[in-house]
Amino acid sequence: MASLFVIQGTDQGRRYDLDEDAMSLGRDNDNDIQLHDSEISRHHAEVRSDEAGYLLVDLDSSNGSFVNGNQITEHHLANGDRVQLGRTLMIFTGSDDSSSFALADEVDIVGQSASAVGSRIISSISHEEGSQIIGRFDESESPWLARARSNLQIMYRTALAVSHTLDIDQLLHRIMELIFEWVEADRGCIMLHDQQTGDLVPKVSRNRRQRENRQKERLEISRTILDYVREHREGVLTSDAKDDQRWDPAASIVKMGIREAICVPMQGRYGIVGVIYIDTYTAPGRFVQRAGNKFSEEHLKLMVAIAHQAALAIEDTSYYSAMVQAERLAAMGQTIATLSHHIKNILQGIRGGSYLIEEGLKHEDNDIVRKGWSIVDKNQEKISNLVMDMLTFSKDREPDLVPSDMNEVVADVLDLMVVRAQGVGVELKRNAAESMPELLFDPELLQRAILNVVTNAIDACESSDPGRVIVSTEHSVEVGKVRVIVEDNGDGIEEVDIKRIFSVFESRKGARGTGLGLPVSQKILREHGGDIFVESTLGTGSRFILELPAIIPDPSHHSDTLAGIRIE
Amino acid sequence: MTSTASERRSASVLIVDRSEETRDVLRTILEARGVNILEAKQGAEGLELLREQHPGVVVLDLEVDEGDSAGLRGAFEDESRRHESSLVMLGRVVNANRSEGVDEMRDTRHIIEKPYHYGPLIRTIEQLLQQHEAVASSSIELG
Repeated sequence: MASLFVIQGTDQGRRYDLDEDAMSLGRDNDNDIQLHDSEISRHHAEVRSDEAGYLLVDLDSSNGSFVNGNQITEHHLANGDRVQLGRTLMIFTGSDDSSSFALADEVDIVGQSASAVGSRIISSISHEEGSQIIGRFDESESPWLARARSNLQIMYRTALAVSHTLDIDQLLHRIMELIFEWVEADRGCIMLHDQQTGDLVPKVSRNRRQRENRQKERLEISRTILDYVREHREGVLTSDAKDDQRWDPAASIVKMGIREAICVPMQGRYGIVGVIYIDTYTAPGRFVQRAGNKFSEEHLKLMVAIAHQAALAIEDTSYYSAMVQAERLAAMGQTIATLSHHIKNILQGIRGGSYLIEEGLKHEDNDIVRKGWSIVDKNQEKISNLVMDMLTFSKDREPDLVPSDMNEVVADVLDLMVVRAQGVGVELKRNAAESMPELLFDPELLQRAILNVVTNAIDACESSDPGRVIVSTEHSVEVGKVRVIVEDNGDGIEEVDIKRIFSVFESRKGARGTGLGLPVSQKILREHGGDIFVESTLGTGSRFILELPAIIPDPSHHSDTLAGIRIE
Repeated sequence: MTSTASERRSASVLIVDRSEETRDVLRTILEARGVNILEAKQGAEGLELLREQHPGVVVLDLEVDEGDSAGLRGAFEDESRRHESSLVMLGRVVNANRSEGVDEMRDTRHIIEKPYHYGPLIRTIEQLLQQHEAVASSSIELG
C-alpha cells in the first residue's frame, strides 16, 4: 500500500497509509492525516488516488507544498519523492513494485552445473585489505600529487568514520577530530538544525588553544556568517573577515577579530542539516602578521565535501531512528489494541454477570444471582491471569528457587482447571511420576507456565469427542531433568504454526486467546534454564514437554538462585 | 408480508455469539420473561437457524467468526430482511450504510457497540419483539 513516511518534523517516525481515494493533510484534527506542525496550514494539501497513481494537490496553503524541493500546486508522486509541508518532510512510497518483477525476470541465480560460463575464483580480498586503496606515500611524487593523495586520504577516513556509527554525537565528534588533525584550526563547531524550531544548535565544539592553555574560553560564532551559509547554501572562506565586503562591517566579525574562517553547509539529500564552522582566532589588537593564509580554497572544497558526507550520514541515522521509532509505535499500537480487546471482552463478561446478580436480587431469584456471580468470578480470574501474564512477560526476573514438589504443583493446576475442563466436556487426567524428589524451582512461576499450557490443551479439545488431556510428570536422574508433559487429543497444530505459537500475540484461539500464554510459559521455563518442546500431528493431538534442570536443594540453604546451583 | 411468512414467525430471539457467557446472560433473562431462545455459536449455524426458524429478533455478535465480519454482516442483513426479522448487531460496524433499495422505515438494523450494558440491550430486544408481534397480529387480521 502506498504511504507517506515522516522523516523530519514533530511527527517523525509516523507512517500514513494512503488507503482512501482522497486523503487530506493539515494541522486540524479533521484531516485524514493530521500533522502537528505550526507551519502547516489547517487544511494544507490532499493526496488523491487516480488512474495515474497518487496526485498531491496543494490546497492554497500559506507556506506551500514542495516535492523534491520544488513548489507544486499539483504533482503526481513517484516512489521516493520527498514531500515537504512546513517543517515536515515525508517520503512517498508507492505500491507499484513492477520494476522488481521485471528485474527478477532478467536475473537468474543458477547452480554450478547449470551455468553456461565456467567461473572459478582466481583471487579474493578481505574487507580490511580492500579498504587500503591509498598506497604508501612516495617521496618522489610532486607536491600537488601529495596534496591530492592527502585529500583523498581525508575523504576516505571521513567515509570510514561516517559508516561506522549510528550515533550522531559520536559521528560529529569523530568528524571534528578529523578536521582538527588535518587543518590548523583554533576553534571549531558543528551545529545541527533543530527540527522543531529550525534554529542551529551546537552539538560539538573544539578549541585547540583552550586545550593547550587549559583556560575556559567561550566560543562565539558570527551569526552573519552562519546566516549567509544557510541562505546561499554555499561554503565560505573568510580571510581577515572584517574587510570582506559580503559582511556587514558593523557585524560581529569585527568584534570577534576573526582572521580566517571556513563555514560550510552540511548539505544532505533533503536539505541542510547543519553547518560546520572552523576558524583561527586572534583577539582584537593582537593580530600577528602571518606569512600566508592558513586556510585555502582547497581547504574549503574539502570541508564542503566532508560536510556533505557527514550530512548524508546524519540523514541516514535520522531515517534509521525514525524507522525504529515507527516500529516501536507500531508494536506499542498492536500491544494496546490486543490488550484492549481482551480487557473489553472481560469487561463484557463482568457486566453480564453483574446484570444477572442485579436482576436476581430484584426478583429474589438466588439461582440467577449464583449464575451471575459465577460469571463475575470467572472473569475476575481471567483478568487476574491476564495481568499476571503481562507482568511475567514484561519483567526479567530471577526465579525464586525454593524446594518444591512438581507433582504437587501439577495437582494444584489440575484442581484449578477441573471445572473449566468439565464445562467443555474434556476429561482431565494426571499421571504423576512415582519417584519425584523435592527440587529447586519457583513453584508460583511453574504453576503459571503449566496452567497456560493446560488451558490451551483443554481449549484445543473442545471439538474432540471425548476430549482428553493428560498431564504427566517425569524425573530423569541420568540426564538431570524434570519434565511436565501435557498431551491432548485435540485438533493438532500445523507444522508452520508450531514456529509461531511462542510469538507474543500470536493466538490460534481467535478472540479467546491473549497470545501471551505460551510466550509466558516459554519465558518461565527459559528463566529456569529449561525450555518447552512441541510435538503435534494434525487431527490427532499435541504434546507439550516442559523441561527444566532437576536441581537438588542444598540442605544448608533455604532459598537459592540459579547461580551456584548443583544439577543432579 | 405474506400470511405464510407471518405464520412462520414466532416470538423468538436468535442469539448468535461465540461467548457462552453472553448467550447465558441473554438466555437467562429473556427466558424468565417468556421469550423463546435459539442459540448459535457460529455464523453459519446462526444463518441456518434464521432461515429455518424465522425468529422475531436476531442478536448477532459481529466477532462470532474469525475474519470477514463485513461478509457475515451482509449475509445476516439479507437473511433477516428476507424473513422480516429485526437484527441487533453487537460490535463495531465500519460502514453501516443501508443496502440499496432499503428505505429508513424498513431498515430494522440496530447497532450496539461493545462493551455494552445488558439493560439497554434487553430493552431494545423487548421493544423489537413487541413491534414484531404487533406487525404479525395486524398481518394476520388483514389476512
